[in-house]
This record gives sequence, C-alpha cells and structure tokens, in this order.
Amino acid sequence: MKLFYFQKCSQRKLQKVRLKRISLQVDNFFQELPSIHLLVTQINKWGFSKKRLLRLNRYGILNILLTQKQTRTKSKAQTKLRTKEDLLLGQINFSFSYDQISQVILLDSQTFQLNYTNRGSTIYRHDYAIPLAQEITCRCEVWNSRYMSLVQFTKTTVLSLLFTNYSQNQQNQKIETNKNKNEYSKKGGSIINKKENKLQAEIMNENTENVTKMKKDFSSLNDQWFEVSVLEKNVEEILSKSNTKQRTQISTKKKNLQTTTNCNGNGNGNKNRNRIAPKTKNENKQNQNQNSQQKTENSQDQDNKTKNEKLSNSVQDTNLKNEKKNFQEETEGEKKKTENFKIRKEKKNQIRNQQENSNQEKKNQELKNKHCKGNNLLNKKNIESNLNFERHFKIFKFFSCTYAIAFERGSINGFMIKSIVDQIIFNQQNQIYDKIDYFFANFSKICSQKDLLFKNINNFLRALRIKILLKYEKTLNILPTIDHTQEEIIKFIRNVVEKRTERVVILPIYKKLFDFLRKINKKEQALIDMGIINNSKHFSQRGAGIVQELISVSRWKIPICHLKKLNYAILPSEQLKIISETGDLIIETVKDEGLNRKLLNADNFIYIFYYILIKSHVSSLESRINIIENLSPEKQLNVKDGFYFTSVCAAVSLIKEQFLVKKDIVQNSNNIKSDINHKYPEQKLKQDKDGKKEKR
Amino acid sequence: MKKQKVVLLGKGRVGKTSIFKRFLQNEFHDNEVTTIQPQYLEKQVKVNTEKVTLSIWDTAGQERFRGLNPLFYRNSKAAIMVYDITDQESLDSLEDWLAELKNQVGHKIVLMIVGNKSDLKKKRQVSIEDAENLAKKVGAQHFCVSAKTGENIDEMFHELAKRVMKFVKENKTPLNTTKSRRNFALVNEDVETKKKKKKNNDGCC
Repeated sequence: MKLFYFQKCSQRKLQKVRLKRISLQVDNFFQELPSIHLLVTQINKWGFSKKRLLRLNRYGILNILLTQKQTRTKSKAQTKLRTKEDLLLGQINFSFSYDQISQVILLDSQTFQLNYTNRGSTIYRHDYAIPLAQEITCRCEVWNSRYMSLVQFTKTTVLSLLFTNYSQNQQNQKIETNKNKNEYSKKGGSIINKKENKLQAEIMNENTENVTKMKKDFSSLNDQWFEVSVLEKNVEEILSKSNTKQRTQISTKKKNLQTTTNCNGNGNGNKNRNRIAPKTKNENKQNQNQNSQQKTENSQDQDNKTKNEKLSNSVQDTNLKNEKKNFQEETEGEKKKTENFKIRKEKKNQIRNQQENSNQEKKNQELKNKHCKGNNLLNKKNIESNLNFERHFKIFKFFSCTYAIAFERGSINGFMIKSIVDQIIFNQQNQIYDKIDYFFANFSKICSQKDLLFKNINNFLRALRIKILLKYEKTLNILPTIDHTQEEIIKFIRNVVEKRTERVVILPIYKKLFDFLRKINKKEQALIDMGIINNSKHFSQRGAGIVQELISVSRWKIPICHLKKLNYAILPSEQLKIISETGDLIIETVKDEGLNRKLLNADNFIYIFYYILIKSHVSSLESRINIIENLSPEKQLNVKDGFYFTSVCAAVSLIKEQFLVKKDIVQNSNNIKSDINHKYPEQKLKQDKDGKKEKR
Repeated sequence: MKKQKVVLLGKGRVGKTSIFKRFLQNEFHDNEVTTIQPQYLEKQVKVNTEKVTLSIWDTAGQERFRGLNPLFYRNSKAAIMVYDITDQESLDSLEDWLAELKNQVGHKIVLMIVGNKSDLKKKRQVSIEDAENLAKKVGAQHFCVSAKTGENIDEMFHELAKRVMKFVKENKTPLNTTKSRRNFALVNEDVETKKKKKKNNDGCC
C-alpha cells in the first residue's frame, strides 16, 4: 500500500519529479483516484477567487490552468480572464465570492490596476505574480520581425500539484491507519473508496449536512492532504513490464511452461516449443511428426470439439514430457556454457581493473604534481564546468512588448534595459540576431546622426554589462565550496562572465554595428579599399615618407602579418590589442635590424604605420576606427594601446588624404568632361520644362 | 589611484622628448632632434605618502598632424606646454595650442608652461615676464627648465603630480543613482533641429 498526497510545487520541481515518475503508469492510477467532488473540496481550501480549470497529467500531476488574454486599446489597457472547460474533470466553481477574497489578492489586484493607470516605466511591467500557490499570470506582445509588427500573445499559467510519496517517518506514524486500509484492500476495497461513494451519493442528493460531516472525517484522516490508495498488484505489474528485457531466457521458458499447462493447446504454444527444443535429429523428426499430426487434428476439431479434446490432451501430455526432458538437457548444457563464460569474464574484468588502476594512479600522480606546483587550474576548470552560463539565465523570461513600446516613445530606462537583457541572454543564440535587427532598426530611426548612435549604443552596452553581472552574482550561491577564498572566486567569475558576455551577447551587436557603419560609409570605404589594393604592390617605404635610416630590410613583414588579424577581429578591445602588439613589433624590428632608434619619433612612427596599413590590406578602416574610438573602454584608450591607436588614426588620415582627395578630383574632372561632351536631347529638355511648369 | 594622462605639447624641436626622458629614464641625447623613443611612458611619483602614476604621451610636432591633436588630448588630466627660450615663435605658437586645447577639453585640465634650454642664457630671446603673464592668463604655472643639465625637471614634475592629485580629488563625482539612471536614457535629437529639418523638407518648390 502506498499513500499519495497533493502538494503545491514550482515548475522546476515538477520537471525533476516528472522524470522520476515516468515509470509509473497512470492509466491505472486514474481509476484509483477518488471522485472529482472530493478533489474539489480539497482544492477549495486554498481559496481561489475565480473559476479555474483542473487537469490531471499523464504523470499524476494535477494542473490548474488559467488562460489570460489582454487587449491593449489606444486609451488604456484592459485585461480579460478566461476559463475553459476541461473534458476530464469538468469545470469547478469555487466557493469564494469576490468580497471574500483574501487581503493578499486584493492588494495585488490594486497594484495591478495602478500599474496600468500610470504612464512610464511601470506601466508595462511584464509580469505580476499572484501569491497564491506560485501562480503567475502574464501579458505578452511579441515582436514579429517578419511582419515588423507586434503580435498579441496569450499565455497559460499553471498551478501545479504533485502526487508524491510520504516520507518514512510519516508512514511510521500512521501504521495503524494503514493496517485498517490493508484489511479493506484485501477484501477488494478501501475505506476511502467507500467514503467516496457515500460522498458522491450524498452530493447528488444535496444533503449538505452529511457532506460537511464527511468532509470533516476525511480531513481528520490526514490533516489537509488528500489520500489516494494504490494497490500493490498494479505497481508490480508495471514493474514487471518495464523489466522484461532484463530477465534471462530461463525465466521466460519457465513462464512459457506455466502458461502451456494452463492453456488448452493453441498454436502459439507449439511455436514456442519448437524454438526451445534441442537440435538432435531424432527428436526433431518426432516433433515435426507430432506437429503435423496436431495441425491436421486442429483443422478437423473445429466441427467436433468434444471428440477431439481428448485426443489433443493426450498429444499435449506427450509433448510436455518431451519438452521437460529437452529442457533438463538444455539447462545442463547451458550451465556449462555459462560457467565457461563466467571464467572468461572474470579474466577480462581482472585485466580491465588492472589497467584502470594503473591509469588512475597515473592521473592521481599528475594531479598531485599540479597541486604541488601551486597551479589552481583544476579548481578553475571545476568552476567553469559549474558555471553553465546559459542554464542559469534560462530561468528568466523575456517580454519584448515593453521594449518595443519604449522605443516608440524614445525613452530607455533601467527597467527596459532589464527586459532587453532578459531578451537577449535568455533566448537561444539564433533568436538573438532577430532581436538585434530590431534593436538597430529602432536606433537608426531615432539616431540619424552617427554621434548619437554611438552614445546610445555605449549607454546600452554599459547597462547590459552591469545588469548581466548583477544578475549573475545572484546565482553565486549555486557554486560548490572550493578551497579558494570568496573574493578569488568572485573575481574569477566576474572575469568569466565578462568574457562570455562579450562573446555571446555583445559580439553580435558589434557585428551589426559594423555592418551598419559600412552601409553609411559605403562610397568612401570602397574608394579607400580600392586605392589600397591597387597601390599596395608598388608602394615603397620612401613613398610612405619613412626616413632612409629607418628603412627596414625585411620590409616590416612581421608587423604586417600581425596587423592582418584586424580583418577577423570584431570586438574593439581585441582590435586595440592587435594594434598595440603591432606597435611593439615595430619597435622590436627596429632593435633587431639595428636601425637608428633615435629617429623613431612620433612623426616617423606614423609614417611606418601608414606603410604597414597599406601593405596589410585591412578592409573598412574608417568604420573600424569609429567603433574603436567610440566603444572601446576608456581605460584602454588612456594607456599604451590608446597611444598606438592614435598613431594609427593619423596613418588612416594620411591614407584618406592620398586616395580620397585624388579620386574625388579625378571623378569631378571626368564628370565635367562628360557633361561638356554630352549632347542633351531636345525632347528631354522639353519634357523637363513642362514638368517644372506643372509643379509650379 | 588610476593612471593619469599627461600630454606634452609644443612646437617642433622645442625639446619635449628630452624633457620627459630626463625625468623618466635619466637619459639625455645631445644630438637628439625631435626624436621620441619610446613615445609613451609611465612613471610613479610620490606626493607626500600617496603615489600617482603619470602616463606621459608625446605628440607629433609636425604641423601636418596638428589636426589629429584632439585624439591625443582626450581624457587627459594635464598638459605640459613646452617652449624654447631661445625662440620667440615657440612661445607665440603656445597661444594657438592653448586655444585648441580648451576647445577640445575645456577648462578642466592642469596646465604647465615650461621654458626649455635654460642653460643657454646668452641666447635667450623670451623674457620671463612674458611667459609668466601668459601663465597667469591661462591659470597655469611657469617653470624654467633645462633638459641638458636636469635643472628644475624633477621639481616641475613633482609640482605637476601634486596639482593632478588635487584636481582628481576635487573632481571626483560621487555615484548617484539618479545620475546612473540618466545615463541609460536614450539620447534624442533636439526638437529644434527636427523642426528645422521639417521646414527644409517642406520648403521645396
């Protein structure tokens, strides 16, 4: 006998329990559940204000569903609660009226109304929780990137209840009650079933007095929880079904034998026997003859059952005797085989164990060595494995409506950024790109100037980073206890989080920004790129303006190769690093080649960078510089990296001077020539004149 | 404390690099002509009990790169304006540099006006009074320095570090929640500019 009870629980707990409970079939479970009325009486104790939907899961989990739809008009937002009927358990009317709602619900409803009357950040609070039993209602409007419009979205919320086992202590306390139930169950019924039947009958007759008495009796059995009895037999059957694969052949044969003794000699029994029978020639022949005889008999027996029953029984007896003999022989042969097999297995296991032990010893030695060296790499790896970045963040949900509406108004605040953080991080990576598309579309609408765009994005990214860190710090309690101090762990985690936010979240934003800037400066950049590609082959060091004493023999090959990495770097911090490293490489080459170090002044340094930039074929230089200048951290810009970056900027300005000005002049001259040579047709002239008149 | 950015400004061949090399590495190259290697250096300076790290940037002196100077000025806490006492033009050009600096950075910067090559007293063309008057005008401090002999260089940098420390402490802004919230606010275009744009668009023939 097992006892079950309802328990309020969260969604996460549900997911865990579901996995455990899959083995338990619930088709039988439903049959043994008490009537709906009893369920309702129990659930009414929790006191809901409105009609709710009840549903039982496959896994014995009871859900109370609530669908909420919200429509937003121009003037104000309206909420509508809708309930649906359930086919299984039916609609439930709860006894509480609106006046009798608990204070907690009232307060919450008031706050909810207030939120929707105010205008500002708090209006579009994406979720609000009614404290009753972890019930969450929500309003959603999802941005559809395909149609570029908001789509209304209703969300079902679930209040979930569990059937879980009693703990052993509770069971020990109620041994006496269980004994009584066992007695009833042996007879084919239980106390509860009898009580249910009585209750049903009484409810149907509307005898309210009796119902209240029964309820009291029921509650006295087990305080607040509702009991359900499950027969042991059912559980055993279920377990037997699940473990069929693991059973050995011998057990199946035994079962078959048992079934054949009980059955009346159908064809199925013969088939099994044929499979089991040994492969000696004489016995096979006998069996074949017997089978053929049996088949013929079976075909004749259909008309005259009484006569043939005796014959068939006699044949069956002979068959059974033969089978028993065969089975005994077979078991002996199998025993020998199994013994040999066991010996082989033992040998193999011994060899494996030896190998494993040797491997473990090696690993332990390596670990000890590492610990002795003072490297904390292992511990760090452990932390990293536990820091499942995405897993922790998936808990949160996102609602894009707030984000979209706030954009329309042109106001970002802390709350909105929070929602954006949720949106970007907690979804899958593929979905991030859609959101960022939308994000940039809005930014481009609002910020027509480049400076404004950079300011906004800078603010946005800064807020993002802070929010992510703050949210992640809340989940620090999940970490295991390690020998490090807390400060060390926090520092390490911060670094990890910062790196991952840069890679996972902020990298796609930079990519989009880069593409966006490319589009803006399309013409200029194309000219510069073309100029670099065309002139790079014949571009000399002297042509770049480098002093003769600083002309290198290797033609700055090493720094050029290093600077080529800029084409693949997207993050501004990475790009800055590459630039500073190339600067260092330039100084190293000057040292190695024995060039005049005294002449490596700021001016000459710029000319060297100018030469290297042209030779390294770095594409879309201007947009890269824009990103680095506006979005890289100030710390980096104030230090050595920043200094090298400024010299690169100077070099880029030189490139612009060379390629842009010349090209413009050439293009203008070409245009002028074409205008002079071009003969304007007379018809077109007339049309233009007519058009102008009409416009006036 | 954080690293504080200091910029060396002035006309070409005034002796900017030789000044900070004398200070940072205690080296002096007699034949150095507008040479800078390395162009960027950092050094810690003790002021009473506290330490300040000065990251000194040397800028390109050529007029060709004068348009790029705003990049060098950005986020700088102090600027050392160097002139040659044997060259009157170098002092006159400082006024242009100062005007540019204040356009870019504003008045929130520590300024030092330094006259280099004080060992060449016979060839002196710039009077001390002129230089000090200019310093008073701008709110800077004046120093006469010789990179060759090392005269007054340590004192000048020590004074600079002191003033930077003061400046940083005074301009430290407390972290207000309201300010941080405001930072998140989306920056919009001015209403007037939008109106102007509209007018321009509407005013077609």
